Parts: sequence; structure tokens; C-alpha cells
Amino acid sequence: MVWSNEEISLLAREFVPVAMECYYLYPHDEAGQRARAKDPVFQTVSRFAKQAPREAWENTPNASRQGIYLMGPKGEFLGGRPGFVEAPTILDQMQRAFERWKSLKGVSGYANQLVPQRGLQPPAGVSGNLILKGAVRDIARWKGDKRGERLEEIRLPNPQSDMRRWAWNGVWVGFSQPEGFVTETSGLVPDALVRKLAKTTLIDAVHNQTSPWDDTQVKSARLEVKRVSALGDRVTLAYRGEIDLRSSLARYQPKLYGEAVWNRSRKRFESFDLVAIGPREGGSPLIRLADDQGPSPMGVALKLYP
Amino acid sequence: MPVLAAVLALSQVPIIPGPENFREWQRTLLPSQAESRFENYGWRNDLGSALEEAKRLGRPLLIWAMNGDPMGCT
Repeated sequence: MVWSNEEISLLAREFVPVAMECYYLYPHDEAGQRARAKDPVFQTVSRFAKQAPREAWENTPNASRQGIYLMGPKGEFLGGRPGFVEAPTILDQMQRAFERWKSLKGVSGYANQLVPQRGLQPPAGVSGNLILKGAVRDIARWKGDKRGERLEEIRLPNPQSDMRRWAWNGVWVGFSQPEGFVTETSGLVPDALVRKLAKTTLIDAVHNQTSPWDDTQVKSARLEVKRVSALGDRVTLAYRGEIDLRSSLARYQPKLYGEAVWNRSRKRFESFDLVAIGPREGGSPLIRLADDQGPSPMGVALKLYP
Repeated sequence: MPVLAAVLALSQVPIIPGPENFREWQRTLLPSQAESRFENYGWRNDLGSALEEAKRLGRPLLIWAMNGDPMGCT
């Protein structure tokens, strides 16, 4: 995988790294560009775009701008490659960009201070007092089935461009009112919380991005919570549930089990682990290949973040 | 894939997560260290504040843009 490359990892420390949805970087449609014409961030990216050679920014007209880009703080072009790019190309772009930067920083008087190393941040839009981070992964269907294998076991020849053969994808969800997941006896987690969990994390994003389910596609969503034990301020909880998600193109019908520890005095979860497993079927052509319509088992695991 | 998960997956009975197996399923489903190395870069999640940081530090940006957020939550 591109980001496992040691040289890329080391060189990346010279840059402020940002990961984002490409439409927010630069809308590929004129209406989107007009809507953000006065946005200073868009103006900076536009300066970069005007300096960039075609192969570094827009190799396919009107295509989305997914790719890797190296940019000075005021939108100076340093490098870039749109589309799916393998590690050697990215490393080459980063090395060239860093050489350009060495010249630019002196001419432009940039301070060139060390970039602080930070931990993982949730994607934009995910916030709250309870944040769960997890993964959705295929599960093997028969002996020898490669679905669900770890990336290091599959050994894809071109990991980046073969991304649709990857067996997992990440999911996140944030809740502003974690108390809804807590009980002193037993009960049901409020419907709104279960639906949010289901719509945003129980998705078939194993092989590509996908939209969350909408409300009408949540046919049923039930999550029971039961107090298992309590010791001082710490309450251990167990969760069991069943979710039915269906659209005209796909379905996912998992059963859920999880355990968590809630700290009463801190009003925070100390741990939160949840697993959902069930059959998935269908999916749009972007998400599932024609020969992979199922039904087949798929799982989602969630853990407390950070 | 851990043994229990493999055995359960290869059987024809529906897989039902419960207290006896969910930790193992969690290990099976969550990414390995190798799979999640990309998370160690300290990716900022907002271009506006990353640009401000780049200006303040006087440093260039490395932008990873995808259809859908690269950190997940697509």
C-alpha cells in the first residue's frame, strides 16, 4: 500500500498532511465552482490549479480531482497526480515537490518550522462525546475464498489501482448524547441513536465508497442494552440487536452484540466494542462487481475512539 | 483469519455474534497494523485549517483527495 512505503512516510513529515473528499478540494462541475468562487480556500486551490500542468491536475476533463497534490501555503504548485497512483509515482512527485519547496521557501521567506506530528483525527463531520471507529469487511464464504483476507495476505500487484479488491473499509460515527447507550437495569437504546449507528456504519463500503442508508431504508432497528455488573463508578453493559436495512439495490441484515464500560462520574465510556454480522446482498455496480451480488456474510466492528 | 472465525464462516449456519465469540470477530474484522499504516500520518481533516497551519509554519501541504473521505466515513 502506498502509505506503507517507508520513504513516503519519512518525506511526508516535511508537509502538513490533509486527507479529504475531493469535491471539497475542488468541485469538478461548474456549478460547484461558482458556488465557492468567494471561498478563500477554493481561491487558493484555484491558484494551484492554474499553475499545474494538465497531467498533474486534470488528466480527464470534468473528472473528480481524486489524487495526490503537493502545494505551497499560498497555493504554489509543487506537484501532483490525479487518479489512482502507485507508490513509486507518489514518491517521485513528493521528491520533486520537496526540491521545488527548498527553492521556494528561501525566495518567499517561509519560516519552515517543524510540522507537529499528530494522532489520527476523525473525518470531517464526525464529532460528539462518543465517537466509534471501525471497519466493514467481507467474510470468507467457502474454503479458499479470498474475500475478507488481510491486505498483506492478498499481495495485490498494484494496491492502489486494485483498490476494489481490498477486503475492508473504514467507518466512523459520533454521538453527542452517549447517555442513551446507558442503563441501570435493561432497556432499549433510543431509536434515533440506533438508526444513526445503522445508517452510517452498517454499510457495504467494503470495495468502494457508498452513501449512508436513508431513513426509509431502515426497515427495523433494535438494540437492547443490559447492565451486566457495576463496580464503583464503572458500569459494564452488554448490547444485543438486530437491524434490517433494505433498498431497491441492496440489503444488509446483521445481528449485533457488544460490550461497553460506562463511567458514571466522568459520564464517559471507557470502552465500547460492538460487532455486527449478517448477510449482504446486491449493491450498485460502483460498489459490488456483477459476480459478487451475494448473498454473502459481511461484518462490521466498532471500537471507541480515541 | 482466526480459526474460530474461519470455521464459523465456512459453515452454512448463520453467524450470530455473542459474548462467546464477539472479541474474536472484532479481531477478524478490524484492520491489521499493516492495513492501517495510513492512519499514522496525522492527516488533518479540514483543508481550511490545514492551510492556516501551513501558512503559520511556513510549510507545504500534502493533500490526499478521494471520492469519499480517505479516512472512511464515505
